[in-house]
Amino acid sequence: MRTYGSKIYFKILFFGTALAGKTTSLKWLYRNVIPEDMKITSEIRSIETSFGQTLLFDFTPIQISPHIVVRLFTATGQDYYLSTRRMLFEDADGIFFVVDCQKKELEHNREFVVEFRRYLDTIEKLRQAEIIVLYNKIDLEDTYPADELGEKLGLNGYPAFEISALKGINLRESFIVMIRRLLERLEQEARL
Amino acid sequence: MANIKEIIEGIMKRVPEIVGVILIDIDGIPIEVAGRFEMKPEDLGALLAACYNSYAQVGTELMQKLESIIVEYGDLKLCQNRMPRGLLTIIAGKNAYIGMIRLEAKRAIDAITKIMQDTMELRREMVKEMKFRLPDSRSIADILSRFEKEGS
Repeated sequence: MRTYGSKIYFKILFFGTALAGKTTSLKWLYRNVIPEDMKITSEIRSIETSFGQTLLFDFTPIQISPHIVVRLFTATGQDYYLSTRRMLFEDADGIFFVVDCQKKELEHNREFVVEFRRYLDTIEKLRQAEIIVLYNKIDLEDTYPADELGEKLGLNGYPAFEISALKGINLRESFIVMIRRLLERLEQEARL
Repeated sequence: MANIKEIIEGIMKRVPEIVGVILIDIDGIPIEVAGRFEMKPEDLGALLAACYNSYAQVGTELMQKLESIIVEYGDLKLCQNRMPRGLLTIIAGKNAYIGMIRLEAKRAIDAITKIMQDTMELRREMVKEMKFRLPDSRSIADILSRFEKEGS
């Protein structure tokens, strides 16, 4: 959370394996949940590779009240861009950890959990971030149920939603929970 | 003491070749902008921060501290400089002297650094001065209801 001029800025990051559904989730929210008058830019800014996957990040800022801006980022899931991912975690207030529920993705998900824990260990401010796990692709076959996958990955301690980023299942609900938590934190700060 | 806006506008007045100055925090949030940009400052800020941080990481691999980035486009030069809590980017015409831009950047950074306060303190100060109201349960509910209603 940062304050500049007369505005408070929150940063929310979508993190997860390549093709887990981070950009799809952000795009669905942008099209279906975020009111037009809250959109600061007319589209999501994407830094993509020549073959259309996220190279650095996707980004869109939204103004949810006259004094509060929420900046939404997705981190690239490609392993060979690992070094650029860490910078996106700096100062993140909220993280959607997008997990691909397909069984074939288990090991890949595990690697990302290890990476995520490394960021938690080394970026002090990140420990205060709101973390929500999104178990994506629940509508596909050969997937793990969220509980079972959460246990395998050690993510069951976090609030979680089973989603379909493509169809938008539970995305609105998860986004509302995230925004509520961030605003309540601000409200608590006001009481201090 | 001049405020940040005055400092940044002062650069443009002193060096006519400079077409824009943007001050962002290290994460890309636009703090002050002078000059005209086609892009929204939020967008521009995110891109500039990404560029800087990418080069900073290259520097880390090379065991070098990144001091500044100079980019030459067809008709423009861009000079990006790190400061304690942000990045100052100056954009100038291709005929501008880089030395002059760097000198202006250095002076501005020294002045701006003295002004920038801790953001937490700033937030408290602004709340005290009633420049904005932090959300209460009712305003939180109002914001969330907008997301519930949109498109559903």
